[in-house]
Amino acid sequence: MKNNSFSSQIEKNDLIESIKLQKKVRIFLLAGIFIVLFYLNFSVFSDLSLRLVSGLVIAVNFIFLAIGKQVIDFPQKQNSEDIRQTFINIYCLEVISSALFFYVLIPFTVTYSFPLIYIIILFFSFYLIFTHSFLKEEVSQRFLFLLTWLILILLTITYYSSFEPEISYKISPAFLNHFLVPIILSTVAIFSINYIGFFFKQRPQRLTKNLKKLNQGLERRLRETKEDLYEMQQKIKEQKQVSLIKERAHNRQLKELAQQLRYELGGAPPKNNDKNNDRHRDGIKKMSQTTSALLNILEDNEKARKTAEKEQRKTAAIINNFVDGLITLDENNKISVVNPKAKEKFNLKDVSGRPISVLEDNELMKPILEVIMEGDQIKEVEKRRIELEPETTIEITTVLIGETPADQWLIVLRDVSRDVLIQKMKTEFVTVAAHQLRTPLSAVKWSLSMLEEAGDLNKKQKKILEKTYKSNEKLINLINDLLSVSQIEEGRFLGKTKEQSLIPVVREVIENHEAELEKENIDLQFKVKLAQSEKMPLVEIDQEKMKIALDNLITNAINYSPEGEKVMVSLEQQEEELKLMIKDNGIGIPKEQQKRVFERFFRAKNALKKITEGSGLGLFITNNIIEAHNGDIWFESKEGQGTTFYVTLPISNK
Amino acid sequence: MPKKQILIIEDEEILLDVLDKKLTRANYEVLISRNGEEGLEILKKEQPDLILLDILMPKMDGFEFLEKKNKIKKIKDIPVMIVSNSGQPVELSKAKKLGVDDWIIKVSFDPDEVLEKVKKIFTS
Repeated sequence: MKNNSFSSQIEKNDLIESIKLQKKVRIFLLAGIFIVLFYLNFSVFSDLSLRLVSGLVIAVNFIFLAIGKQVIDFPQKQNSEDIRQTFINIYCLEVISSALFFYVLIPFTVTYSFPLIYIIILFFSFYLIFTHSFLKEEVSQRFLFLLTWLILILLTITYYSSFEPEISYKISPAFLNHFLVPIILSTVAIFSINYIGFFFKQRPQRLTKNLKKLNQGLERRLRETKEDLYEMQQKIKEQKQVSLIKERAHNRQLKELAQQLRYELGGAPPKNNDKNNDRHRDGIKKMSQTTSALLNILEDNEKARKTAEKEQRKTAAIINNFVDGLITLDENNKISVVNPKAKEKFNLKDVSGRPISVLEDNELMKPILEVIMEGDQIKEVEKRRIELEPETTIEITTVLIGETPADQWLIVLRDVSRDVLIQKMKTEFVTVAAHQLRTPLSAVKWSLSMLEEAGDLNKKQKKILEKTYKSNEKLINLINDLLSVSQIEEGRFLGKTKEQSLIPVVREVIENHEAELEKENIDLQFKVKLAQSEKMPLVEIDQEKMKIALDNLITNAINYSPEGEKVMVSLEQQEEELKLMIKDNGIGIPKEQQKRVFERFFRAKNALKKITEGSGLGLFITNNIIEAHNGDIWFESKEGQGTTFYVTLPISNK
Repeated sequence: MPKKQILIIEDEEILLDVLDKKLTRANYEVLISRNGEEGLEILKKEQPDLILLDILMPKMDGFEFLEKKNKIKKIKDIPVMIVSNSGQPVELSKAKKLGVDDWIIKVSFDPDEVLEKVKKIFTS
């Protein structure tokens, strides 16, 4: 850094001001000297023409000196060195010529000789003016000037001493006149000019001195400040270095930590980003931004980690306390978690972290592996039941936890032995119950039919026989309903399904009710609403079950209709569904009881009044059958006006 | 045309009697047994064209009889129609696996209907 660059504008202005002042003072000084010269001139020369000539010479000299000094001392342009030199030369010549004028020309014309002291004052004045600036540096010119000056003095002395050799030493009126007056006048002029300058401004020298002092002080201070500054800069630099290193280290740590966390939370594995660390040109600012960003990430990760931990604890608790055996596999089909239930049930000890294939040695696990493995891969299995041992049945389900088959698997092993046992017992019970209840009924039924066939019965006997048969049939239906319910509860109600038209099924059901319809004088109409070109869509149904369902609906419609009423049965296609409608004008279902219509053993109040028998199972069974066929059932009803049941079944796409 | 021979295995006397009478009247030769064991005994000597089989019986039930019958080469291919009062899907599928041709629930059928089913089996 440059030392002088510190100067303030104010100090510089002060300096310029003082120089300007000096210039003015010097011009006044010069003017004062020339005034003295004019006085001497006029006092010396009695002749007017001579006075004018000498005055002109002095004036020209003055102008020259003034202008020349200006040019010399204050060159206006940097490249005016040549002009300056020229002026210096002219100046010197001028001094010499004017001196010659005074000391060579004048003595010839005047009778009265010049006093030596006059010449000395004159040259001393010149000397004062000239030596001040340019002669200091221009050695050759100073020499020339001094030489001229000495020659003139010598000339004067020799010249005048030849006329009046004692003049210099005598104190006479002429001496006072020519010696003291100019001295006093010039001194007064000089001092007065100096005084005026001082009065108006400041004494230039003192000012200069002060300025110099000030300047020095300032420079010293500047130096000191600069040193301090430099020191400070050094310190800052060091600090920067230190903090930079710290920041980098911190940064790297944070980064690693953040990446580690992200990795642990299932993000991308950490990558080496040292390049970034190496190039932190923007320094602290950028670094701190990065740091705060990283801190944010860190904070977020911390939160996420806590949440994840919480979830993990939850999951662990669930897994450990789950009633089913759970085994999880990682993406390499290695066993990662085996819950206590699985350990206990299948003797799985120390298998964590080992491949699933080690389980082949386990007697209990081997058949399970056969179910879930396809080659070396796990396949998706849903609720597959296998009997491991007599009376031990396991239900196997595999669940893909990850998104691809290479990801984690969850194997759920549920012991359903008890379910199976209960199921078996239930089946046995139903079989026995069916046997015990149905066998006597079927015996009665068959016997009655044989009796009728045998003939030889009178009218009364025949009527009794018919009534007995009907009662028996009612009992049979009730038992059948009960057994159906138990089958529904077993959850496997549908038997063999077949793709077929619903029309013959509906017809058959209606035909079975012909006797009743005739007896009750009910007009049952069956309509198939279908465009002629259209084929009847097929539905996939278990025919026997569908018959039961439809029979329940039609029986209800007939039973709950007053004598002589109409029952409408219609079948139509509605988009992808087949819609069956059974409409009666019967007693209807009370509004407040409509919700309970499909409940088991439910019978509406008005229905109970009309027909006392009835299990309250018909619609329950029907609903279940329709639902088992992926169909829908609903109704519209008004008490006393009638009921309409709607059934929709999906049309088979085959 | 020789008479078709039908073996009935049924423990309920009344039903056995009704079936016997119906089938005999329909010109079939009827063999009677009251449980699986008896049925197998008869099968040692006879080679009927059809077996009408009950499921729930003392000593040897219908399924047991079927398993044993299927092991004897000579009688393995004799068609079987189950005439029983039980008829749960489990039982139906089990019977199907054992090669049963039809299943009649007694309580839902009149004896005449049983006779029709029997005729159908012989015609098909």
